[in-house]
Amino acid sequence: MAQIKINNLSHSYQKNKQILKDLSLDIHDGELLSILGPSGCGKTTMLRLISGLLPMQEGSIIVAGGDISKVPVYKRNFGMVFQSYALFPHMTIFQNVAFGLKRKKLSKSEIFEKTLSILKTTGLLDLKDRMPNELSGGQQQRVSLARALAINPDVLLLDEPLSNLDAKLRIEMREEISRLQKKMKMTTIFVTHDQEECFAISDRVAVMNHGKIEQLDTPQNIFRHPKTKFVAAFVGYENFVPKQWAKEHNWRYNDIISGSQLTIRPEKIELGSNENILNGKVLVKNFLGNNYQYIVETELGRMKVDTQQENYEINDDIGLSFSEKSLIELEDGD
Amino acid sequence: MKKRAVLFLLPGLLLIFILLIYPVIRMFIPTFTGGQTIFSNYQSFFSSENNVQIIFRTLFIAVMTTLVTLGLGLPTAYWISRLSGRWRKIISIIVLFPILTNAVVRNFAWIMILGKNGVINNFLMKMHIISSPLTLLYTNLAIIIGAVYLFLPIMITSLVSSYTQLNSEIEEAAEVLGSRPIVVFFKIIIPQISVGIFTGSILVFVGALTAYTTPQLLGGNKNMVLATLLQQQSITLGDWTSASVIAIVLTVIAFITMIALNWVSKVIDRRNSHEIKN
Amino acid sequence: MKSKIRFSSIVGFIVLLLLILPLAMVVVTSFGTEATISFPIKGFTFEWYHNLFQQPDFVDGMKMSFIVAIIASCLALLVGIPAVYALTRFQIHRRNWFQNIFLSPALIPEIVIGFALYQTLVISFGLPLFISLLIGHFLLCLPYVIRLLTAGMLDLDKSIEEAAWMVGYNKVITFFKIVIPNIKQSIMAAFILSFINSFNNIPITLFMNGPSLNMLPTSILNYLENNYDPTVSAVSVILMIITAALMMIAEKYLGLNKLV
Ligand SMILES: Nc1ncnc2c1ncn2[C@@H]1O[C@H](COP(=O)(O)OP(=O)(O)O)[C@@H](O)[C@H]1O
Ligand SMILES: [Mg+2]
Repeated sequence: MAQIKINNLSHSYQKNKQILKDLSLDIHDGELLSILGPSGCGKTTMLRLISGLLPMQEGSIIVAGGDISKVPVYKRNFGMVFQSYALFPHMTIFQNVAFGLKRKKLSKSEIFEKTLSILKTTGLLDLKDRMPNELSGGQQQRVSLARALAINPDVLLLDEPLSNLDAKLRIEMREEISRLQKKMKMTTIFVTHDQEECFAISDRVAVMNHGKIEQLDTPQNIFRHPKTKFVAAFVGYENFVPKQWAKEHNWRYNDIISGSQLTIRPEKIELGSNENILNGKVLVKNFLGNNYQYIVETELGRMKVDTQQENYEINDDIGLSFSEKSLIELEDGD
Repeated sequence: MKKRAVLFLLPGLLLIFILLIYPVIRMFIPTFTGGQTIFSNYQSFFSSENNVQIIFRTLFIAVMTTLVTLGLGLPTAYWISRLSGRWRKIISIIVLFPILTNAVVRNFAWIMILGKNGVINNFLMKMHIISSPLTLLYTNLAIIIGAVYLFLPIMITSLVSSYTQLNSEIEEAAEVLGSRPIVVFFKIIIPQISVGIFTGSILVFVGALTAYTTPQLLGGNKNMVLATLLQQQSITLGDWTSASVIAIVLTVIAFITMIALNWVSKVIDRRNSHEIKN
Repeated sequence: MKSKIRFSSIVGFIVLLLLILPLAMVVVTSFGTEATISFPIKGFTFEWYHNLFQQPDFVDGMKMSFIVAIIASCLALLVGIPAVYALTRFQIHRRNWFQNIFLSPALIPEIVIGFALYQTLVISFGLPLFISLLIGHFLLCLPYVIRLLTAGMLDLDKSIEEAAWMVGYNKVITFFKIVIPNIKQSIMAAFILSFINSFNNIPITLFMNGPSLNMLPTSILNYLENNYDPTVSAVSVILMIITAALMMIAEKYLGLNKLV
């Protein structure tokens, strides 16, 4: 089990094009930390640097007190689950899982016992004699997880492990990952671009953008108090209001936070109440199942409103209202 | 990382440079020395009417072989590509077998067929269509027949893989719009398999251009081509310089046609993808 | 539609017949009783097969061609496998250049290679004929190895190697335990194709055989210049049987499409 300290990590594949920029991050012993960010922001690069698959250029990584920056990948004792599963096509499921154990100084029967036990924990015992190409995607991902866990790694790394699965399996697998992680109390880094799956299983979330961590906090805090416009937009805040406008309306903002923007979630806006704050015209009306979404043109630009009310139509003039408390202050990004 | 790549590539690169590129370059050098100007050897080679005739014969045979294999290969490959299952497999074996069979065997078969007492002459005499045997063997025609036999399977193979990738819905769309089959073939199918046509043509043309066994066995001494001339000048006559000149002429012609056909194929390919986008 | 298929199937059928019939005739004539090759045959005999094994040129040539083909194919694999691994797995500046250098033996006419090697290796360097011949056949085989293995490596998911490193195997062991078993089929196909092409080669062999170094294809060529009896048909049949056997192996273990 291990605590990880990442210090000032930078990386570029080509000259003058830095992918990771002076990134620092602490991961607590036994926690499941997610890296959440859009595609191309450098998540895989970071994970590959931690795993040792990519040689480090700048910065250092300390695991359980020791600097591993120069330790080769095969000596790090980390587990990794790949997006493509990466099972060995020429080995049975049993052999796939046992493969890493054969490197350790264990007797044949110990390897056998350990492999059986991990296959049991991951629910793969019935499949142990099949070949990888005889399994479904979900089963293959389970094997990939079992293989990574079998060597009892100090750190478990998961790179978008659910993205090749269909929606139902994705939920099932993420709960499985969460269950095993809690059971084995393994320090885990989970990379994803899916906000929902990340919030469901993480102890903490690091939101990443352009090779930098924009916010690191618990899922609840990130959801309730996004720090920057990027984080807010990524976790479902659709509407942005200039702080100047709020001040003109005699609201309480006194530049506690230095930023110039406020944000509000679509469901926090009400339509057609008496104390209208903003007037606008309905541009689009969409039925989303649980509610309706209206897009309303106002003096602050287009505002998205999620509501149960269904009696407005396109081109109706309507008033919007929201409480001061629902507005969240943002820092200016760079 | 860098060091490992060098370690893995170096043995092969060294072997190729020392054992292939160096000998080939060394062969070039004497052809430019020993005369009054650096091109003396080439001037005297090209001033011989016989040599020029041999170059033209070589090119003629390569062109004819390519055209005939294309003409026979296009319908055959189309037919094969539309088959499936057991028959496709059997026919693929029949096409592949000659490719992997020794060229001497394949040419020898045609000596048997085209010879003075060969299958064709015997048959025609027995039917009293001719009274004395025709001269079929040791002619340009014999070389072309032999080369077509040698290279047709290769042409078919590259065309079949091209046809197989073809989206048959495009073809059906054209038919639904009322195009006649022959129009569909030339306007819809041929442009789409142009890559296969050019790959096949390069392989066949260069193969026929540089083939030794076929002209040696079916052409005889009178119908020399560059490859057999090279063999004669070097092994039989021991004239190294002339042989080197021939080797270079042959290599240069092969390179030029490969590069030219590759280029045309790329231009056509780009035009095709452009048309599809519009 | 119908007429196009009918036309192409008629042409296709005739072409197939033209491809098979000459070889079938060779088989038939190998059993003929007359002293010169004739078709159709008048009687049936195995005499020519018997005669074939009395010809030292053919027997020794067969052995020598086998040995050369096997050694040359193995050498090409030995040099080609690491090269292909580097070309497909490492970051290499100007990768295409290197790829083309490795394919260059296929771009130079074989007869020119034979002539150039003879001049430099045999005459100037004074290398033994056998070594020079092996080098020529090694060069002949290399492009087949490079092409087939490159295709095989590109089909293989790079992350399975990384997965093996992650669970504790260093790069060398991973190469042997993970990469090699998964490109076994490509290696087999490359070997078969190399073997056949070396075994059948004439243009390179032409320059580097001699009284002490008989190779089968050139021996047949020489025999044909002076004789026209069914022994040639018989030896042709033997060669066809070898081809057929290799094709059967390929079909059984690899699928024939691996070869083209
Ligand atoms: N091997 C590579 N060579 C050059 N650029 C790369 C390489 N791998 C990734 N990149 C670039 O680095 C950036 C980050 O990639 P990546 O870490 O894969 O992002 P993510 O996993 O967040 O989608 C992308 O712009 C990508 O194009
Ligand atoms: Mg990624």
